Amino acid sequence: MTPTVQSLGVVDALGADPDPRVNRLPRLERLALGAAREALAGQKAPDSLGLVFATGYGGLTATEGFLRSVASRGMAFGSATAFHQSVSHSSAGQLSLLLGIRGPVLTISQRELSGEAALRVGLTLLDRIEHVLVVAADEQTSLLDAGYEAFGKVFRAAEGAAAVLLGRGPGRLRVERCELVSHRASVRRYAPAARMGPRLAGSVRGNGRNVLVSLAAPTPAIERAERAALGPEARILEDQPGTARVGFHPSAGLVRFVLAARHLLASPGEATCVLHGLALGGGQAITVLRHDA
Amino acid sequence: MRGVAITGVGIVSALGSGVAAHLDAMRKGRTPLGPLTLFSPGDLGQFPVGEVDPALVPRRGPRCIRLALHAARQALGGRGFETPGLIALGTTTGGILESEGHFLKHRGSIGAEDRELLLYHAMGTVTDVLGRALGLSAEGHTFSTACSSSANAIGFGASIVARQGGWALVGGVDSLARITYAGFHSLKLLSSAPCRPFDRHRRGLSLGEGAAFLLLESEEEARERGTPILGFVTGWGCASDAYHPTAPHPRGDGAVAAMQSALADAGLRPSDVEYVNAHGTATPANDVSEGLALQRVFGDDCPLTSSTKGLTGHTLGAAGAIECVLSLIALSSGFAPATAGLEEPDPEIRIRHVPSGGVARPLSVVVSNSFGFGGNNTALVLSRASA
Amino acid sequence: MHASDPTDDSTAALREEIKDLIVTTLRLENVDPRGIGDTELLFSPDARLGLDSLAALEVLAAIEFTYKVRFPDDGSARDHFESVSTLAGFVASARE
Repeated sequence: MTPTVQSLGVVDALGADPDPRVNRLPRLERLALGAAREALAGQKAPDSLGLVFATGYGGLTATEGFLRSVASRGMAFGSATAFHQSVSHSSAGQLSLLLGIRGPVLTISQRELSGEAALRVGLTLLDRIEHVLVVAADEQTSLLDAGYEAFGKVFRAAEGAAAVLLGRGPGRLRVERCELVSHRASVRRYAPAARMGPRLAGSVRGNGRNVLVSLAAPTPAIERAERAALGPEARILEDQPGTARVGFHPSAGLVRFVLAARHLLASPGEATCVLHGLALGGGQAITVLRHDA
Repeated sequence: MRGVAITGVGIVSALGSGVAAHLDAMRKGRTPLGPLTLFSPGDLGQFPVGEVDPALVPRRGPRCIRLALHAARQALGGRGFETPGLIALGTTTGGILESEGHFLKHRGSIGAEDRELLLYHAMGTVTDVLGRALGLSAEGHTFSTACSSSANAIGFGASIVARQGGWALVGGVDSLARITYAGFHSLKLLSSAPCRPFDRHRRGLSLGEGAAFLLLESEEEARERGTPILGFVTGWGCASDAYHPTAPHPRGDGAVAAMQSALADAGLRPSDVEYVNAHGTATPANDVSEGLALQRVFGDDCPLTSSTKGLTGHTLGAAGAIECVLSLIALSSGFAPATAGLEEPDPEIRIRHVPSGGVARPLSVVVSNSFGFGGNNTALVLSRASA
Repeated sequence: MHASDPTDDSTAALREEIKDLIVTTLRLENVDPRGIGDTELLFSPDARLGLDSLAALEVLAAIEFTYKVRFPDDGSARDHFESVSTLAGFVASARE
């Protein structure tokens, strides 16, 4: 059974929703809901459906909001709403409520590989259930921006959400592989080039000639290391004309997956995309997406 | 699931450290829940909690990581592996005790301190640091499904071992923290006296902290190596209520689906189950809906059931793993613990309580329930190792 | 006149404050505090505002903090949450 991509959704900016109840949802949930709805657009949610939700930092706005309520009013007067919204699983719970998902509903948090980790878990769940909706979302806050600045200048800090509906049935896009490994690295560093480079280059070489590569590129220095490992002949997705560069956030890996999938679907000659992911703490992910034209 | 052998176990909680200490505590049934000393409760005052003894786990350093290392080292028992494996960890607090302390001290003022604020905040960091500190080469997965986090981590890890062999270190950790202490209070779910699961006079939960891990290996490889097998993880079921952000489904729909799916995964029937370690938080809502769910799954043939949250407190993200280990201890020692804190069973909740003092009898199949905020319901099935 | 008589000026002022507090705490856009009736049901599913249990907890914490009162935790607190009038009545008598 090769897992196929049934549909996709992505959000990189929040607009006002016509439903005022949706506008009152926490920011993280609105991002996730936007992407999920796009992936499910026009179809009734399948009966046998699970949800894997991923986020690198969870509801930071809500967590900060709860801590502020406790700081300003005292421990006895915390905001009940901010508390339950700061629980990492509340976004997945809310999504399952709004979309009527009663199968397994999981929340994963794996730093800057959260999207890829959710994909990996979602693919495993296809053993047990016919469809899995994988959603990854992260919000941008000034606290997080300041935190990342200290780890190395990132390419355009952003926020966003992506959704991928996976199934077992026929489809033009197949997820052939999604592997995560962990290299030795400090919690504040990405895996060294000497470790992650060969694995990246090997994955691309092993996939034939017509391969596009999507770079993790959390910082300019790492992007240079990725390009050096791949060599000048490599075809980089982000260099393709008309392809948008995805701003950086912990769920960006799944956003890149969606954009790569759409690119393959729109380009009859393109057969394969290898997506590279990297996280602070040494994690590395390789995902192989194949297009049957 | 077939062939997922448990070859190592580690646990630390308010009851102490290690399997023997926890079996002893289950036999004695005395609650260790007491005053909070880890941080000041401020104007909120004291609600009984289950703290880990500072003599076991020192209070300096990121607490979740210290707790997790303590239990994970026990589970590994000094073993190493030739091939990479999997670490699946469940947590809801992660490093929040330190990041919230920092935030409350600096009130989010921008400065060099902010990178420290976020250093351990991301829950995935706990898994990264654990793997590195233990010298393990493994892919890491961090589950954060509120109170069922580590039950899902165990289920996921087991499903990977069932599918592709190898090894997985699975479990979970949570520390006490201001955000959860004040947070559960804001939801009016904290009990001012030690919690009383399933009791007519129950008034809410008591928080706890701790960590527990299992080492899982392919049964075939364990037998080839002659590694002692402590038990098997045979079933994982997970289902969502899709009902309300914080309250459980009143008829326990998701809980029923999770238990049935776990039993189907194990290839077992409800009548095969001999003991249920309930979620049993002692909140008015959970205990009633869980009781209904148990009735719907088991009918009149309800197995012996107890909650161990009166012994450990509600350890949130660690609860699934801690209670899975307590269930394993029950299985392998042939002892079903009574519900500490239960004095007058609520007549509305019609389950078969383990009598006071516990019951000594051979057990072959145990179910452990963990139900989380946001309607996530998870059940694990454990089976005894054959002689 | 009783302390909780609806025509009493001080309780009237308290009711208006509580309406403001509800709208601010819950961030209810497009709801004018002056448009909330004194005896209008707040929390039932059929109620116009249709506030849920989480909203009730928010309002409870805000009232406790603002007025330095404590609702009983034996479950009877929900009776006071029927309307702005019952909330004001509780706060007025708790402050005495």
